[in-house]
Amino acid sequence: MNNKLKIYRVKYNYTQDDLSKKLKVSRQTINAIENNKYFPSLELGLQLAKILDCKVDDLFSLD
Amino acid sequence: MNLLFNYKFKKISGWVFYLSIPVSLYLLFTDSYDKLLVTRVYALFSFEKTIITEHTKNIIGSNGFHWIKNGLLDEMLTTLIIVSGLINSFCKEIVEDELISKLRSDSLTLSLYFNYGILILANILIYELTFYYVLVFNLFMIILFFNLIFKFKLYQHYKS
Repeated sequence: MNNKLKIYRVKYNYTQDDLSKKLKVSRQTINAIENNKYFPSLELGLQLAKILDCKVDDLFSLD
Repeated sequence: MNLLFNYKFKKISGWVFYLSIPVSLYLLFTDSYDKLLVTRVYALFSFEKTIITEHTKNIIGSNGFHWIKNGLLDEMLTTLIIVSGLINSFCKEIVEDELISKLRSDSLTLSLYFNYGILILANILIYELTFYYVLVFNLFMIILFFNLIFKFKLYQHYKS
């Protein structure tokens, strides 16, 4: 699975820390998602899409 | 459903867990755990006597529902290790998110595999009364492996 989380995060000028506080997860979790070490749950994916004002499909895609 | 303990118990339970293990091992190997805090306790079941016959070397006779004399220290330490180990392993992290839950679940799975792998090896290679010690260690190995693997995974996670 590929993700464009970092691109969208930088677009909105969020740091990993900002995003983690909004989502109530740790900064390391955001880092793990960005580096494809962890694939988030549907709930977290939807929350990310809401905060970054895009669709889940824009953030995550299958190889 | 929240099945985790509060974060404030993590430090104290960790100290209790990792201190009670060497104390218990020392008492086990010096064979002194049964001689301390001896008191009368009510036993639902306990071995009472050894019967020697011409056909068998010994048959251990058993008796239930009666009062016996017993050193309480081993029971206390067993309870302490299990309770503190469970609390320490299942305490919330400061930020308890889904990745931490996954790390906890993965650690538990790995510890089960390790534990039963060792038990299978011991079953094949260790015999007679020595196997009893393997079973005693097995009581605590799942929780110890789980705790150590989870701590290692958390260390890697927080380092990233």
